[in-house]
Amino acid sequence: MSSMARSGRLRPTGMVGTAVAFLAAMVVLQACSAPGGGATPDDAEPGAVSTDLGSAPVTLRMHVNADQRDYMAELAAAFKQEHPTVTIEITAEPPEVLQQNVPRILAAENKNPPDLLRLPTMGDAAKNRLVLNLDRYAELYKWGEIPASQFTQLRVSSDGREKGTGSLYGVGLGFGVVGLYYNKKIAQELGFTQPPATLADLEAMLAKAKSSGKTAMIGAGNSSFLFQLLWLAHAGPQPISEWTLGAPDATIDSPEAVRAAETVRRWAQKGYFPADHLAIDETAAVGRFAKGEALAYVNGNWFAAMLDKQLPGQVGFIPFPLVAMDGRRTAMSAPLTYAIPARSTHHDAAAAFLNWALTSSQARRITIKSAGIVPGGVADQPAAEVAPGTALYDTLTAFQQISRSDGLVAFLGDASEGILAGTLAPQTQLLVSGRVSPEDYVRKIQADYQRDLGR
Amino acid sequence: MTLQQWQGPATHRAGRAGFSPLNARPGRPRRRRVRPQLAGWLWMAPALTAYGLFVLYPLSQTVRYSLYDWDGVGSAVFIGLDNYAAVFSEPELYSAIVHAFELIVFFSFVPTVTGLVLAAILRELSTGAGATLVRTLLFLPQAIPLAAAAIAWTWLYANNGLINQVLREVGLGRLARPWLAEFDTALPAVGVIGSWLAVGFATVLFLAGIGKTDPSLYEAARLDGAGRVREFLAVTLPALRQEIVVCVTVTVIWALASFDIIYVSTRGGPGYQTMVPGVAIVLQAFTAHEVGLASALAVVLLVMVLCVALPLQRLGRPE
Repeated sequence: MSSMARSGRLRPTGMVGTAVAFLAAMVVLQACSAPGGGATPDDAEPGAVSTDLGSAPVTLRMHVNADQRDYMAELAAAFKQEHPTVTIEITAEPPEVLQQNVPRILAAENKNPPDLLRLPTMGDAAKNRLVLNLDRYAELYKWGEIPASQFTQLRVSSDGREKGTGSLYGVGLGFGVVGLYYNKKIAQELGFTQPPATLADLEAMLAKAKSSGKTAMIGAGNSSFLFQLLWLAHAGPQPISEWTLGAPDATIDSPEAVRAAETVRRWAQKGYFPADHLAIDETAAVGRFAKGEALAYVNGNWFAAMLDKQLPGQVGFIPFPLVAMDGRRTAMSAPLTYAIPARSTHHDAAAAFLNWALTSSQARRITIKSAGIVPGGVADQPAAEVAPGTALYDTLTAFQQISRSDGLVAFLGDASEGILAGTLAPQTQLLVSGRVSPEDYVRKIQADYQRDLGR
Repeated sequence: MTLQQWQGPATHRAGRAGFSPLNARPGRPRRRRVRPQLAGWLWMAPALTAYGLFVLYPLSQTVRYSLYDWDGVGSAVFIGLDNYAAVFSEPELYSAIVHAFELIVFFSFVPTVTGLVLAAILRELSTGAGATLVRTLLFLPQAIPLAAAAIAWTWLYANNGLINQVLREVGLGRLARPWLAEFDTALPAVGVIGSWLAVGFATVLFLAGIGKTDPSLYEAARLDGAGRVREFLAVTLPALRQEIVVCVTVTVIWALASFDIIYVSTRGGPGYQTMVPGVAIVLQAFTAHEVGLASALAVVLLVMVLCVALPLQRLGRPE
């Protein structure tokens, strides 16, 4: 508080004094009333719900991330062919701009709110009742037949603190899934004809690559993907799922997580990552893997189509290997989530679009071809024809394997709004550079997690 | 109602409300008493309104938010000074304040000293195309958008960037490293970007100061047998007192309130190594949605800037 105390000694004279007095008066006047909260509707449940779109023309306004504009435009055009009365108007913004403005877009008392919105996490928006409760539509459209795990991350308890339980607030049109990309050509040069089956196999491959003068593994220096996959490999999906969804008493401060952090640090110390590991961001990492620089690369299926184009036939993708080979697979996965703002006046049409995008085979084909991710919906619905031997084909197979063993978990970075940029990224940089011990790494993540969730 | 009648009570009210009692002197026409005051406020009204609306009001809101635990949209909980306690107890947050003070060396001290030396040298070259060219080049960083400059610098600092290429070419490859990504070099590296930016500003400011100094002072110094160093210490430095204060004030504020360069080049990393209050405020407010905590940090930053800038202003006043 030293600088606060020092400010007390400034003699308020002239303009400064007037400004200080004015400020103090304003603060005193306002301090008794809390900011915010006034715009919150009481109930975010739709009144009547219907599958009938009527005959009057409807224009749905949709806010999407800029990188999904083409995908959504294709979906919108296909939807209009089936439902000519519904026009979808797309506003695309850079992801960080959209996500920073979401609270304001949702809360603004304007007369023309969007009807559909890309929203990565539901927590605060659901708690503040700014997005529509979709339970009645789930019943109407029989979404109960779709594997429940696809909706887990979109359920929020009524106090907004816990995910995975409570009402449904969004729909995932497609799924991202993280796994291990490997360069088949480098693997063959090193004498490996099969992808690694266990964690020990993978470690042997990395060691061989290093001793042969290759870059064993590439990834962003601040990415916690590898740590989370290793935690999954040691602990299985249950504790990670509970932690990411904010279950009461969930903790990352466990022996398995410490072992995962130890492994990350060991791999860094053994030189499996490039010398400038800390300087590499996601764009640089995928770019250098696409140039054939490294044997292994941990990231999501959303890069598969691009890697197939850059290194045709050379890139494989598998679910990250576990400690033991028992056939179970697990990985983090995030739905490409869309929600209906509570103020939308066209929620029947918006829900009809979401249901169509989830279940129609044409929409599912567009999801694979245009977005390069796995479509949601019922597991045995026909997927688009994709050539075997490509990374894209591998990602679809991997998602099925993981989905079947019920191994889909959310990302550590989605556990709270601040944890990715505020904790995971800087702490992982400290871990790989040996400046924080594996024990302190998980302890700090747990402490910040509890602070973020107000525990 | 006549003009006189209308103005009578108004004068009375104004007098009671604390307007200057000097105007109440008897024996002068009544309407003269109000006009200068009223006109003054009228002329200031547009600027005062804008200042109140866009500076004082948001400022008071920031102070108000800083007393709450608030996500920016939902309902807020009053928590008193807890946010301020967090600013000074959480290592990630108070280390940001420490980094801001470390940056003063690069943003303020280095450019001021370099600027003084450059200005003294340029004074002697003051005629000719060469001097104009040097002045333009030095001032150029001021004309480049900060974000663009920061991106260019990240390329220079990259592992295969120009700086490392040069080091490898001249046989100093051992020194080559990703400057912005290594824990020990990241803060000095962003500091150098700040120095690059501020040197031109300082030099041009000092050149202007030298330009308005009486040339006879330099002649007198020369006649008295002063060398270049003596001349600099005895004439240039005292003459530039006010410019130096302006330069130090402005650049210290750049250092304490730095944001663009760091947000673009490192985002506060690696670890928390280059985190400064400006970046921390944005991350807390717009990524973590901790509007209360971000506001408290902003208030602390404001107080820090005032504590440094106001005493400096006092130094600048002529005795």
